[in-house]
Amino acid sequence: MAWTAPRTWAVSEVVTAAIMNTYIRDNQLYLKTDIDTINASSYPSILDNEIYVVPATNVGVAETVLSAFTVLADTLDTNGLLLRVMWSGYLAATANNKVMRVYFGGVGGTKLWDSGAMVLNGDNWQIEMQISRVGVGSQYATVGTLFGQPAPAAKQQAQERQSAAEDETANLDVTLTGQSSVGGGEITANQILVELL
Amino acid sequence: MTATWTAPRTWVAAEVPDKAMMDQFIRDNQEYLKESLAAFDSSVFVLDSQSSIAGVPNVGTAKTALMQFAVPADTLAEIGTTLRVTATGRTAANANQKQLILGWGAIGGPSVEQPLDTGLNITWGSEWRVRAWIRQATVGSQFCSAYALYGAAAPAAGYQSADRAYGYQDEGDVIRVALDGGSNAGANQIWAHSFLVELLRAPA
Repeated sequence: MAWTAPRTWAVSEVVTAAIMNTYIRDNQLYLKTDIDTINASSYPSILDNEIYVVPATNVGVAETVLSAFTVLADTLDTNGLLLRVMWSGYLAATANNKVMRVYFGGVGGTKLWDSGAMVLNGDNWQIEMQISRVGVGSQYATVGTLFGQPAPAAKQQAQERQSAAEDETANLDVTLTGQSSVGGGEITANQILVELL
Repeated sequence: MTATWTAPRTWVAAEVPDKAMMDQFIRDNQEYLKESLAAFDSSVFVLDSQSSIAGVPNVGTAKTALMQFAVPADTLAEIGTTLRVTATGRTAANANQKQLILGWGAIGGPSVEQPLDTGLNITWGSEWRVRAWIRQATVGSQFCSAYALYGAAAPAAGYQSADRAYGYQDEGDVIRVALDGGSNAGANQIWAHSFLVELLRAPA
């Protein structure tokens, strides 16, 4: 079905069947076909896309939620649906121990990644995670983490994979935490991006 | 979706459309199409995808735009709209120093904003991958977080670099997003093989 440049109608014009079919029917079909094609190509949807005007930093010595997003109940209602999450931030320029963790289902849910104690100093970091539904109440996650400043000294990266058994019919948080035995201000999150594929 | 789609009417000669026809076949279908388009307000679109099996090399000792894309004016007009850039390539198997820079700036000019710069720290025969998110933060400013991974096939000497920075380009202009490569040893030290630019619309 071809697109025809929309008609500029004239005063007192009496429309004909041919005019209506070309400018109304055919153009409507053209637009509908295009929209259906795009819809069928499984485009991801952006669920959340934020930079924190006030960056989120760990507080005290307890584990602090730096960033969380609530995936609404039944979002993962079909096998194969996939959440892709990206976080970025930075670490304080200190030699203090720093620990970061990622959870699905909130802090009480499935722990997908635990950095353990890191003695990284002033590094920027990036986390990319994918959680896919593999069955009813069953998910599979991969987490990639990367720490490093522009100059590549002794930096760190990790790849983790983890199964989860969270109830997707309930709201589920994807959560990033930070903790340091020394106190607050050691780990900061700048950004979160959540996509549904 | 509240509007209902009806297969467009084939109009016949001498037909006099009545109110019901006009509402159903014109108004309701227009509303349906408008609502359908709104679904793409939080979608991802591919703006550019380049690849080269041979690779695009650096030239001379100056930094070379290995691959680049001109983002149309006003693409980032809405706060939160994000460009995601993914690039891959390789370096020559020698000990010469090589450098990668992900940046953006005015078309025809240099990459004024350079949030990711590995410095001349990439050396022997590495495959590399760069990924960046450039998000419109406020009118006239963008926030970028990015990383580069580079290392030989054997993971003995793999390195990475992560960075973040604000840039200040007028989103009303055409913006050139580029991956620049350089080496103080001259040409053919670093190649780009692919360059993908996606547009992430802000949530509705």
